[in-house]
Amino acid sequence: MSLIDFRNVCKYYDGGVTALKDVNLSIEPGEFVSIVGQSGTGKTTLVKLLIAEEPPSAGRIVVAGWDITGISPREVPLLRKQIGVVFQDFKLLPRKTIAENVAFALEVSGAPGAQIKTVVPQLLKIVGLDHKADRFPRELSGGEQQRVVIARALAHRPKILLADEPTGNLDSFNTVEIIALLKKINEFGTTILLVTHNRDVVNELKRRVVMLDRGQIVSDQKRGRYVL
Amino acid sequence: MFLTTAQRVATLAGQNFWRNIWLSVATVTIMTLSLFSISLLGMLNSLSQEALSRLEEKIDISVYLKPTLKDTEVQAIKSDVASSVAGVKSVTLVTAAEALVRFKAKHEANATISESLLELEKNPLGATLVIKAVSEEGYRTILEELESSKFTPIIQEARFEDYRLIIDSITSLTSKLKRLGLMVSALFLIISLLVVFNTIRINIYTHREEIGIMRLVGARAWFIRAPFWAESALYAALSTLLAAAVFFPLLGAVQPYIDSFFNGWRFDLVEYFTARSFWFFGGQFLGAALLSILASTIAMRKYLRI
Repeated sequence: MSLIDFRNVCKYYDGGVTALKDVNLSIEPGEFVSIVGQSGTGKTTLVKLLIAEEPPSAGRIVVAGWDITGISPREVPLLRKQIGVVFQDFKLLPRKTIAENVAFALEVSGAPGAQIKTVVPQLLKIVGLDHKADRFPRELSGGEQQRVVIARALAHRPKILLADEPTGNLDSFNTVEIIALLKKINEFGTTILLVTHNRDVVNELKRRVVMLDRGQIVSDQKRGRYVL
Repeated sequence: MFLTTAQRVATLAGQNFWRNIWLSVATVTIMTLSLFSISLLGMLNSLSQEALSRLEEKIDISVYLKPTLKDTEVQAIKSDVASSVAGVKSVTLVTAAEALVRFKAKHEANATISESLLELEKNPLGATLVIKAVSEEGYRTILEELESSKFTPIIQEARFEDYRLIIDSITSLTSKLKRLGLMVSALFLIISLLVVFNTIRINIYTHREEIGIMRLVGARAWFIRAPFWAESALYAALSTLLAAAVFFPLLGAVQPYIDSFFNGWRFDLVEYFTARSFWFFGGQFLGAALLSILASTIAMRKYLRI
């Protein structure tokens, strides 16, 4: 059974704007899939639908056997514990240390203090920042901040890690580090959905590539390249 | 689990409070003014109630009986008045001898009266019946009945100490003051609600990034809302404490004026409000907390997109 299943999904906005049209996409557990395409092709809309930030206008979305098409606001937190999200602009809390930022994800969902104390150092170790636990985000490089975000996204041991342009604000050196980290996480069994328009990253990965153009999937290759 | 969550909610509420300290100070100040004006209204109410009940206690009819009547006759008249006159609550007898003792004590300093009394061989005063009516309205009826009945030949004089005019003027003055107080309190309450609403709105704006991250990492909606509710309750608690902290010294300061107003009757305001502080301030806290939680709920519904 697919982990993520989009069936004839459409998304329209006011003013007759079509963001997604008849999208059919199945992603298996453990896959590393790059969603590529130029700006305004519907990549971010796909992300918003997947984390239930917006509902689809038509079609059906199933995540881990759970039909989230008409998900209620009460159920959204449960879905978001299954999908870790990494954004281009990091979204870290500047007044909290990086350990506190990671712990925050567990605190708001009611995790016991003892669990937080155990899990946070483990997560920081995975992303290679255990020695900087007490630093504030402003004291870290862009690549390091993105690693903190990845650690936070992994806090709930999600089935899916959704990275929306995670290297958009990073130089090439940090980009390589972040992609390497995502590959490592994928090797542990987490399904990775990488939304990007970075041609080099996609070509280097040599994994499945789904290309969007004007809201439609125009190609889906098992070991693809970014070609346009 | 519950305690851990409650602790985290309280921490977030405290952070909201401290990170916008001047906004919080302004909110608490306005709420304190509202609660203080309500407390003043409470004080005014208790004072007027006390003054009215004291005055009502003073209303009675004094029936001065003729001095020629014998004690047995006086006793019979007393029982007769108590049983046959409608609307009588109680009849107290002041015997001729007691009346003389009281008269002497009252005019002790007046040498002429004292000498005149010595010259008289027997008590010139008769017994007095002090009558209390069941209701305030009953005094006039009782007086009229006494003056136009079988009792007329034995009564020397019946006097009704009428405090009605004073009672009416106090009632009128206090009701006007209460209305004014209610208007001032209502005005302060409306301002408080608007200030709390605005404070929460600004807090939501200040914490929009944090709220966005909370949503992203799977926080439940109530967990995001709870710190704002807790913050509103904190405003109410601090305002109640501050209002009480200003109110009690004020009571102490006005006590001498109250003492002179009641002219010998002791009405201890501090003691009165200390005995009722749990309900008085507890009620204020509950009301203020409910209203500010309502204001913050409206602000969240309007500005917190979760």
